Amino acid sequence: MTDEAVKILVCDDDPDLRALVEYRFKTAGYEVLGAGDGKTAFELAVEHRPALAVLDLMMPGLNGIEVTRQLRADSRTERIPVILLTSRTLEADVTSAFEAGADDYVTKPFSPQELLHRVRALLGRR
Amino acid sequence: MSARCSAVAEPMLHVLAWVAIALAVANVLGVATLIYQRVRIRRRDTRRDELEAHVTPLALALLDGKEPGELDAGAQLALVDVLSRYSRLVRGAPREHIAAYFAGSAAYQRALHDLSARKRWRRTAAAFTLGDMAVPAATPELRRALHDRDREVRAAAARSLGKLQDVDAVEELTEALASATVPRLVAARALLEIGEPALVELLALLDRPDAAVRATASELVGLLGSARDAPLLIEHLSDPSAAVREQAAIALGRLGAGAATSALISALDDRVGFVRAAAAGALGAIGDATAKPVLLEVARSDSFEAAHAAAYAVLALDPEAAARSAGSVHLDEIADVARVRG
Repeated sequence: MTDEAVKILVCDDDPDLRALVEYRFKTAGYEVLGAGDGKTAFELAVEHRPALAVLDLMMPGLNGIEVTRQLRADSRTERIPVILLTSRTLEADVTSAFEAGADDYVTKPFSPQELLHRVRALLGRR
Repeated sequence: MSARCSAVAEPMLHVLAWVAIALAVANVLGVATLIYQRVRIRRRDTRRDELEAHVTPLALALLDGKEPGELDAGAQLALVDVLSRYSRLVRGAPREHIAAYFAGSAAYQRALHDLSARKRWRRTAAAFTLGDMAVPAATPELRRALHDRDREVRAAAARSLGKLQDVDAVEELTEALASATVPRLVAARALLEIGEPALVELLALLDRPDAAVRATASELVGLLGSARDAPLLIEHLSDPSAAVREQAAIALGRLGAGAATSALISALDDRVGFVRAAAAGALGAIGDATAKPVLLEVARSDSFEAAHAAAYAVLALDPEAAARSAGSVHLDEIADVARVRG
């Protein structure tokens, strides 16, 4: 599968962070689906079946963990790998993230290049 | 009589009429001013949004080390704003590129200069901005600003020293935390951002007479330390302050300190409910199965907070046993959770 064919869903209520991540992924050749809230992210995931989702943990409304649970509970989206962006490595957040079905997490502030490496690693496993 | 009344009333009516007219004119002027201000602010916001939309691609490219080229004054200010926001989100090479850009900029020089401004808000804004500019050379000036006469300036300086991960500021930041010359949360956050180099000073804070300082230090040691720091925290499970005992228990759980199991089991008898709850949570995090019987007992018989924490600790220790557990609402709850998780 070439990078150009791959869709990545990016969901964060912070437009700056979304712009940062989208830029990094687009520069790497991915097609990016952007969402500013969890509900929109889930709808985009169902409609477009992205290869991977990057979700912010803390968002108003549906947070990243809740979106992950919804993705896992739906047969159309259950296999989408999920990376959560979290502000701190609080063990409760990390535990909840993995229990909800997330595949990896990245703490903020983050290195966009490191995030890209993790995306490639997860996509390479599938 | 009516003639006399009329002679008094008529001038009064004139006065009232003029007052009413003056009030009406003042109202109209007031509304017109508000409308004008609103239009002016909207135009300014639109202009700012347009400038940001123009400079955002340049800012993103700068994170990869690409210079933005010549910009007019308005675009430069917009770029400074955007880069300052991005600086809070990234680390590594992108932040170094941001620092390199700002190091040669007039905005950086202005911020350094404003640290000595007469007005408090200028000094505060400068101290805050220097953290976002990410230029390490600003740290000596920021350490001086930690001793500013104004608390807001000191707080902004502390925050920025954390952002810049200035190891040389650790001693001053821990002293600021202990003496509360900077809000404790701000100083704590700065020390967290500096990381492991702050640990030695934080361990020393565990012996301070102020319980709030010991509690904060316990929390930070739990976030920055390792299992080898457990002995000091175990001592503080017997601290006179319940808040310190609680934070010590939480920290031991975070550190995964197996050596603390016995002391934490003893802490399940603490006279304060939230300390017992913290001890139960820590035992679940540490994962030593020898704690299970006593945790089950706490889950059955203790007050809500402690019993709830103990039940979830049992779930963490032994999900299979949790699925079969019963004897209290908390154990019933974890049994349901364990079955749902499968």
